[in-house]
Amino acid sequence: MEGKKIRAVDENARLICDDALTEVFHRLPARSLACCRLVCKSWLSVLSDLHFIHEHLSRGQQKLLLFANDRVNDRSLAMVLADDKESMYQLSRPMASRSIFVHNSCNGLLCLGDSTGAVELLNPMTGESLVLPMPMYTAGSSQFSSCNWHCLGFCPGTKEHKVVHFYPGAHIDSFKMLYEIYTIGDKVWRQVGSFHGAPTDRGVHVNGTVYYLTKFRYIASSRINCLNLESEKIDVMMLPPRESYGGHCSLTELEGRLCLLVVDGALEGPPRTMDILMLNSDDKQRWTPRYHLSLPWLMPTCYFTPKHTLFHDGKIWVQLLARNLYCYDPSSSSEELKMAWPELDFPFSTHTFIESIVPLRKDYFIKQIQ
Amino acid sequence: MAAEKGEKGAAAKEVAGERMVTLESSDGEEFHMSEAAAQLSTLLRHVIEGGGIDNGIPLPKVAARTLEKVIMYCEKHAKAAAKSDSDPSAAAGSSSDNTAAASEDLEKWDRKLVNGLSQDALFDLIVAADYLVIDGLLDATCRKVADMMKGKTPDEIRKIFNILNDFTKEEEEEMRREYAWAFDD
Repeated sequence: MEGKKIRAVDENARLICDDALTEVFHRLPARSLACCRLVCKSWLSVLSDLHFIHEHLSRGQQKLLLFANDRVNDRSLAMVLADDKESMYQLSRPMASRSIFVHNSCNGLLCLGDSTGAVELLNPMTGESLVLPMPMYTAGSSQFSSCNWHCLGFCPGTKEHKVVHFYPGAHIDSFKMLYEIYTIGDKVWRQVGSFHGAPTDRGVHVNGTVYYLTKFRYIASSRINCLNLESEKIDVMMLPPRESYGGHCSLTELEGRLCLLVVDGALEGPPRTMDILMLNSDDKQRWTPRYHLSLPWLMPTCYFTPKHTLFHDGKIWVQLLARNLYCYDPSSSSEELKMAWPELDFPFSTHTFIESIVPLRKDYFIKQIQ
Repeated sequence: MAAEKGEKGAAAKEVAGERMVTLESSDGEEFHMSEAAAQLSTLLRHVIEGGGIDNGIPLPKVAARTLEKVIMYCEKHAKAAAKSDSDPSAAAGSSSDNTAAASEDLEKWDRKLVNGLSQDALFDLIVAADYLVIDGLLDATCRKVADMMKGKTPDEIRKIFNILNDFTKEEEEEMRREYAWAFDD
């Protein structure tokens, strides 16, 4: 190291000015950028700039990520459905006998959980991961738990990523929920507060707010609790008025907006149709009926809420059963949800995913990076 | 218009009914370009609008061989834009096929232009497109460089750009260790 001239470029090197280099970087996928970070320190500096990272992310295409644990080969597998060319790539990671699952995905980061209740953030493009400090409550941690779940979100104003953890209060029967928040960069979780309204299902993050459906007493409540990630306060929103919510509702994010999925339900019969209502993003009060799908004859009962309903490549993708992915094409004349993929060998979960190089490290050996 | 040396005098002169602009490269060569083509450069557009171009526009940052390519690009695109504007079938519904084919041809032409350049010439063209603020040319050239970099290892990229690796061995190892996920394509 001594005697080595610290020069980023050779005398014969061709220099492209910073602006042009940034223009080139914007036209590269996240995977290539992750590689470019290793070329030299000045490139690492450009690629660690949060403004660049988020601009690049905003130009990215939303993809579909299927996450599964492949026990046979002892690995966790993420299959990313790329664009119209039906291409797909796989990312695999040794499982190390842990049964991990994905809570949710945001800005190219995956929020992972396991049965011990531990939480980890992972950027599969860069390979960086961050293990969070142990949360307050860990019992019953699972992908489907509605009383103990984590949600990763992003504050557009402060450009911070936060993980929210909702867990039950002291008495499981009470309808009080506690929540703690971990901001990336912090050392500990912050106990923020408690709120009335136990979730009927896991929450959904849409553009800086985490939403979840609440139950009150034994009736499906007509309320949505909204946690604003910046103020960290909860507001309540009413569901759109309807003759009945005899079937089941759940929340999801489609096209950047909060959506309500209502499965048609005569309580005794199989679910037949699903209505998708979209919340107006301007006033956050009005709901617009957006799609109406007919469901395949799969479920014997009406106790069904689609676990994952996502928008990708102009279509609506719905995961109905643990191993089946269905798809609805709004541009086609049929209202039917069609099978999109042959049944997989293992159960999986579906998430919208954008490739990014959002960092999970605070430092990159470069003193001038703040 | 081909480069015409020795044409002194008013830069904005009429040639075959078109207003022309004179540009001077960093190595003193004079080039002529139609004003319509010059409009593709935001920088030139502002200079022209601001007046004061009687003696030509000096471009100390752009060498002759690069300026030649810039003019080729701008003239081609300006002609294509003029053609589609004056297309008589533009009003009718049938134009969508024509415009799609025309823009595909233009893209092919762009690709041919950047593919035919040496790396040095390509980088020079990027700098020129950035300086002159010609969005389409900047896009085509940057995409070409991006394509050269896709799927390459850091070492291969360093060779392309002649960049010295200024990471220490330890730093590099630590960064590579972060690649917990392997890629199977």
